[in-house]
Amino acid sequence: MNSLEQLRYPIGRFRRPEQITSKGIEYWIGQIETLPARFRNIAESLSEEQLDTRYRPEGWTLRQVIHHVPDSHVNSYIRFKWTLTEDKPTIKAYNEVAWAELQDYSSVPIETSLNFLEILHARWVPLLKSLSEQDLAKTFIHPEHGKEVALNINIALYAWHGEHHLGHLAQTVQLNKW
Amino acid sequence: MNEQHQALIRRFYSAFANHDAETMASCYHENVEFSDPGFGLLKGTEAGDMWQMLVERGGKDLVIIYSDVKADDDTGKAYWEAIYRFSKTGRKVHNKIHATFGFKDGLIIKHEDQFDFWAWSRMALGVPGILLGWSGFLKKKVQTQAKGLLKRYRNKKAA
Repeated sequence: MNSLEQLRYPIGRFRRPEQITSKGIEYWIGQIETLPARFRNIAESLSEEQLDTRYRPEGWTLRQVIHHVPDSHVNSYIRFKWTLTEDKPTIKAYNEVAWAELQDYSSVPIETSLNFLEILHARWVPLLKSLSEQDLAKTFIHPEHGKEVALNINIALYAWHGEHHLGHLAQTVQLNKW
Repeated sequence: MNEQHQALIRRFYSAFANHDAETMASCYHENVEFSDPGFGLLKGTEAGDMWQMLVERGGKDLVIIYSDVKADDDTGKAYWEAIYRFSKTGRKVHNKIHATFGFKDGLIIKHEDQFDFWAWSRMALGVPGILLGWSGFLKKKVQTQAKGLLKRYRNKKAA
């Protein structure tokens, strides 16, 4: 793996599982459940200057990464709710790059987003744990490619997403020997 | 693309995900050669017995996730992840493995698993792994222990 690829994808790109088992679902939900504490553990060790360091050239700063994760996951949380309560809804995409340039990403203390992530996952995880096999097979339509996405795959994707951004923080700390 | 070979690889990992070592072994040719950084080279029924041992030792906590299955007439590949507790140290391991396959008579005749031994030793062994993971010494030691464990398992099975 070249170094830019490693900087960009510290845990590798998302690979769509070919089979979803109940053990796999349990594992991914476990990752989602423990993410806020692990995220806080690293984020709180960073100084203001370190928070303004980019995880890769032309990439987001660690501060932007920290604000992005709850924003992304709140979108996902709502997509789960829509899918569980509507028939194959077309979800709303959001422009994550533009969101990261909004003023709150630089002005709001990271503590607010760490709290936001904790509270959000405290609502999201019990919902995920309650899903039956039928629920997990429910799908939404993603407007960017028009394809159906099942909730079970989306759990795998968001488990990866959390670890992916946690990897950005951990990798930057490690490379800079902070 | 060879759909039969792809289906064979999927059958192998689907069985693994369901902790069904017998079906895994049935995907192997009798003269299969398996190798990975943990066990080194295993031949014939050693390979199937190794999976049976790992499935049994992994118990109900063993999680297998696989993706990117591809195969043509001669070779195949897959990516898989195993999450389990390493029994010797009780440490949780999340190993990421690239597998390649060769086929004969509709079965797997060659199976090579590649993973980052340094990363594995850090997860499975902790500090000693961090200090020694790079060295051929540790790799040899792990392979000797793994093969010894397999030998004892096979002897017990035969008894």
